[in-house]
Amino acid sequence: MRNLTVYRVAALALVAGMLGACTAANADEQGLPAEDLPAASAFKAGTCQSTAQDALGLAGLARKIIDAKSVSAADRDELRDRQARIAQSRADADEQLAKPLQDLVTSIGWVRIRFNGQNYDPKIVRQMDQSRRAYQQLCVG
Amino acid sequence: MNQRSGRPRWRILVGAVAIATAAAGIATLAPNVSTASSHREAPLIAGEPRLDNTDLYAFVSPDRPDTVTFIANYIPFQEPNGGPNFYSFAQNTAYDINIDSDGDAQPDIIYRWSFKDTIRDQNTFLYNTGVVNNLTEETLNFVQTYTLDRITRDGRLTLVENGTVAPSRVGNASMPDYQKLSDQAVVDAGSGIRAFAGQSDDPFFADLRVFDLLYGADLSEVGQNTLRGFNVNTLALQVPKQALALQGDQHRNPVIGIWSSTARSKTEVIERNNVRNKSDDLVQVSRLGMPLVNEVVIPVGKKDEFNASRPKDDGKFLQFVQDPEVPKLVEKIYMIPAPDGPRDDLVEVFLTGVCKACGPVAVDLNSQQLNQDADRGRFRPSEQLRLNMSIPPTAQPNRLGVVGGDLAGFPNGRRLTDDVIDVTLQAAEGVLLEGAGDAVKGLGDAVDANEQKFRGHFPYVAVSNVKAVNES
Repeated sequence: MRNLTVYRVAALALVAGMLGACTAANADEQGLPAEDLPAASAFKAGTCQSTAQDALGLAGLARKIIDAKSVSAADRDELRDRQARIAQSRADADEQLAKPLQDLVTSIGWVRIRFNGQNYDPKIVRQMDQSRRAYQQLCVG
Repeated sequence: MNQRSGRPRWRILVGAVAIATAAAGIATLAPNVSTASSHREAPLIAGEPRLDNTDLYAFVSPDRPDTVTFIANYIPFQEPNGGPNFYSFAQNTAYDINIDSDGDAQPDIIYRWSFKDTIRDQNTFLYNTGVVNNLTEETLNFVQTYTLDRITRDGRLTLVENGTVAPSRVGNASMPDYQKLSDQAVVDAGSGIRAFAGQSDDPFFADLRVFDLLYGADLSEVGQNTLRGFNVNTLALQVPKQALALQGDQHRNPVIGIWSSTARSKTEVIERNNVRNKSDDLVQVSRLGMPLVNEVVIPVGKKDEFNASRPKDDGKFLQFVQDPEVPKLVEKIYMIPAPDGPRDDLVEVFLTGVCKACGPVAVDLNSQQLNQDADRGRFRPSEQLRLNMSIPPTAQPNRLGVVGGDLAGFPNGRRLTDDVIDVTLQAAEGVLLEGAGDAVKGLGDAVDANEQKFRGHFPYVAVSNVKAVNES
């Protein structure tokens, strides 16, 4: 019976899923890891410098909303506006920054859609913060 | 952050859901009671609500797992107090549930309801002239009866003759025990077949403000079940698996495809005294298999054509499945890139059914190609609701169906409790693709269930509402 194949595949996948769930649970602690934010002036010239204020602003906003059940209209607007400005800078970004920038824009989009859709999960903010850190590292390091 | 490619993550995703469901289903086959498309989806059918098929469900019956239950609903947005002429099925119309067991995109079995109106007293404005305690009571002034036929290549077999439709729920003074009237409308058609026709609570649950520029232009208008309090007219049918399976063998051939359709008189002549003369030749005007296809996948310029089309000709709609509009709208609003096309993952779910040979979602689940006696050379991709009847019902259904770890649910058939909005939104945003991540898995409209409890027995739908919708 072909159906048995489904169950065999499923059994393997269930184990994989459980392992994945354990990993996720370990990473799911409250809040965000501590971080010393660089000054905006530490961001390299060009695209990095032009996005510095928004990247740093996102860091603060992520801390503010990570454990929130809902966010204020002002915070939603801030997310939207910072995303729009960062997205605009993609056009001038060099190759090295293109993917990290895109990842950051996408991750902000997920936070926005999940908050607006009343199905928020702190993991999504954590992912946005990771994208922001990755981008920031390239810009400051 | 995630860049979603066209590679499927179903090997893990489906797997993660599969076994838990299967195990639970095998352990407990007891009846389960749960505590909820295509409403007005095309320009022409919006003007013909009695023909408008709003939803189609197909699932292994939880309390009779040797059978499958089909439910098809019509006449959307029935306000409970919408008298004096309440809500009836159309005459001179074929209401069909089509079964394709070999995958050639043509019906092997058609179950057809045909209705007839009777008005006992023409000299009153009342739907009922007194209290109605039984379906046979003379106080029920408007009576609708039906014939149910089973049509195959071998001919037509009448399963039910003069079946009585459960009336519209007029109010508590007129119908003090409506549940009793509704249950009386269940007909035992012999050979393990049961049928029902009548009004019920609309089991579909969703926030239809999706049409307000995608939930208020930014998905913020969610969480309100727009269908709450409205009724529909339901056709329900329970049939032994054996009678549905290819060659009558549900063990070798457990997969069936289902779609509903309505066909009305091709011509209608209106006389001076408003008598309507309808021709006997019928033409299809509504069609429904998978939920939301004609509603949000097919563009408005093609919707009426889709409703008149046959599954065997679905190739002309392929581009809309491969390149869906919803992810593009989400990209515009949220700058979340739409998954790369062509979307073969969606083609597999909507048009072929899921199987290893069917496409990128490499799991054997619910394509007719899995039927051992099917001629794979005759298989034709087409939009149908597909059900693998060998997967037992789940004691505790997960509203996200397969995506939520429950193989007995959507898109393997569709149960009343399946949250097809959330599943479809997640699928459109690439939940079946490699790298979908946690973000896409939580998407939805924040309406997770129907307000009314479903019955634990056939016809399963909740009895119709009596309270005015605008009465908070």
